This record gives sequence, structure tokens and C-alpha cells, in this order.
Amino acid sequence: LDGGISEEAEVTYTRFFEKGGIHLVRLAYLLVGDVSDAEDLAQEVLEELYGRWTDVREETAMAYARTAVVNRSHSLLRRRAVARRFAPRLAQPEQVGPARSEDGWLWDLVEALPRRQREVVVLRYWCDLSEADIARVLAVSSGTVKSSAHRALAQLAAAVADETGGILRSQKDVQ
Amino acid sequence: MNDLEQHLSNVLARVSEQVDPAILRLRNPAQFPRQKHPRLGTAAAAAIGIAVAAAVAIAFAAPRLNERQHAASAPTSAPGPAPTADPVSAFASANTSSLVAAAPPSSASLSASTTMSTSASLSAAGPSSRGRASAAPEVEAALRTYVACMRSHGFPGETHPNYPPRAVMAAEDGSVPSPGLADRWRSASQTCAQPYWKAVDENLYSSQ
Repeated sequence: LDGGISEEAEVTYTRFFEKGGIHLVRLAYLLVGDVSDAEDLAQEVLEELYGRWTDVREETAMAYARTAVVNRSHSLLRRRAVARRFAPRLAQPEQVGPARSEDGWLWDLVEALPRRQREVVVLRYWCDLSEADIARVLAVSSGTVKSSAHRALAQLAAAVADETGGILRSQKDVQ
Repeated sequence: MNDLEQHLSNVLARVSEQVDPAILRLRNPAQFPRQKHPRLGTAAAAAIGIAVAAAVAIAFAAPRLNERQHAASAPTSAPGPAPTADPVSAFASANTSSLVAAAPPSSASLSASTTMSTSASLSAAGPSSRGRASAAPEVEAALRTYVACMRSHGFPGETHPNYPPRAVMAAEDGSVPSPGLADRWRSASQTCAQPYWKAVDENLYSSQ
């Protein structure tokens, strides 16, 4: 970059940042379930994107930033899994996040989904992406997206059918 | 969209809106000061590093200074700095080069270690990398491996696992039709990026 980014590029980047920054934090939050982690993750992606802004078209920047957030969330979740595996006796830090709403139980169910299914659900029902776009973001086939979405919805539907939703919640507690 | 999907969509929207923009501390990289480190916190870390290095240098120098003072006040003292009762002025008049030499392991390395990995990675990145996220040497090396691997798959030039080269982007957004190019890049990138993501796992989050 060499400090040589044009003023016009700075303007377009700032426009992207102001419009897309909060979207990326929220996407990261839905994927990792912690506001602080989500904010750090989005900040890293935004900085990285700024470093490559001259190569990115503004129209497609969000798609790339979204992919980067998903990829980085994998790293974070892997780290958490390792931490849980090697320090089971240590108290896990309490997740810092917004207070649960009335729909918290359904959100709990989404959080309890396997990583891939959760990503598909978030990208499909929050980002409103098509199956093809989700496949592109996750670097998997459309068939994988379809089957992941199907399994996730089946699991959620079963829990919703159960009035208390206790089956999946108890599964999460066991984990 | 059936009822469950609609409900799910609403819940996700409500949950995401609980992330309040007012409490976020997102910083626009385009507004970082020029020729400064990309993260504001790094400047503070560098200042702390310098202060700690100076404090350690003084701490190591003090005993030597006392020895000199003691020797100077002895009746059979050898030629040396003039004895003085005031330790501050004594310190000021002491041989600066010996103080620097007497500051083990070295103020520079101490500074580097106390300012954490951010300053080291930033100095590696250099001042010209304004706006780029700092990266550990292992991550930089893994990125070079990725670039070499992608070259062997027929994608030369600078590239990154998160950001395809311009031609691939053009193929993806349809501005330049290149059938299969984006898929080939994605496939190659997925293969080549494994060491990079491993390095990111091992370095990036461990430094936070």
C-alpha cells in the first residue's frame, strides 16, 4: 500500500466501513457468540481489507469481507475447542454478550448446532444469501449447503415441536 | 419460507440487533495516522516498552555506580569520575556507554519483548504497511508458502486466502467471463491455505 492509496479509494473504503462495519460485527457475533471476539474479528478483517482495497471492487467487497469473517471465526472456534479440551478444569470465562431476549431459547438452539449448520443458518436466514452464495462463502458445494440447512432445520423443528425445547438444551448442557 | 424459517430469520435479526453500534470500538483503518502503527494501542505499548527498558537500564546501572562511588571515596582510589554525594548528578556524570553496556540482556531486546508481539510484527511489516493487520513472522512465512503453492497451481502474483486475485474477482462478479476460473482458484486456495490457517491459529489469537 505504501501510503499510496488514493483519496477516492479512502472515501470508498470509508463508505464501506461505515455501512458494512456493524454488519460484519453482527455476522461475527452470530457465528462466535461473543461481542468482544466478534468486534476484534471484524476489526482484523476490516484492516486486512483496507490493505487490499485497491484490488477489491466496492460492489463485491462485502462478499469477500463476509468470507474472511467466516474463515477467521473457524480459527477462533478451533482455539476455543482446544482450550476446552486442555483446560477442562479451569472455569471458562463467561461469554460477554447481549442479554437474552424472549427468543433466547431458539438462539440457544442455533448456538448448539454444529459449526457448519450454524454458519449455513446464519448466512441463509440472517444474511439472506442464496445457496450458491453460501457455497461460495464456505467453499463447499451447493449440495453440502442444502444438506446442512436441511439437517439444521430438522433439528430446530424437532426442538420447536417439543414445547419445552428441552431435548437439545439438555444435549448442550452435556457438551 | 415456512413459519419456522420466518421465525428463525426474525430471531436472528433481533439477536444481531442487540449488538449495539454505540458500544462498539471499531476503528476505521483509513483514519489511522499516516506513518503510524495501524493499531493505536501499539503506540502506547511501544512507549511502555521504552519506559521499562530505561528503568531496567537504570536498575542495572545503579550497583555499578555505587561501586564507582565507593571506589572513588576510598583513600587509595584509582583515577575515575569525581565523587559526588548526589546520586542523581553522579548518575548524570557517569560514563553513558558503560551504562548502556551494563544493561543486560539489552535494552533493545528487552523493549522488543515487553512490547509484545505487536511491535515485533509491525517492525517486520515496516512503516509502509499502513492499514495492514499485523502478522507474526510465522504467519508471514505461511503466507509466502501459500503464494508459492498458488503459483504452482497456476495462480502467480500476490494473492491471499481471503482475497482472490483481480482476474478471479472479475470472473466471480461476471465482469470478465472466465468459466471455471473461480472454481479452480477456490479449489487450489483451499488446498494451499491449510498451513496459513494453521499458522494463524497458532500465532494470531495466542498473541491477544
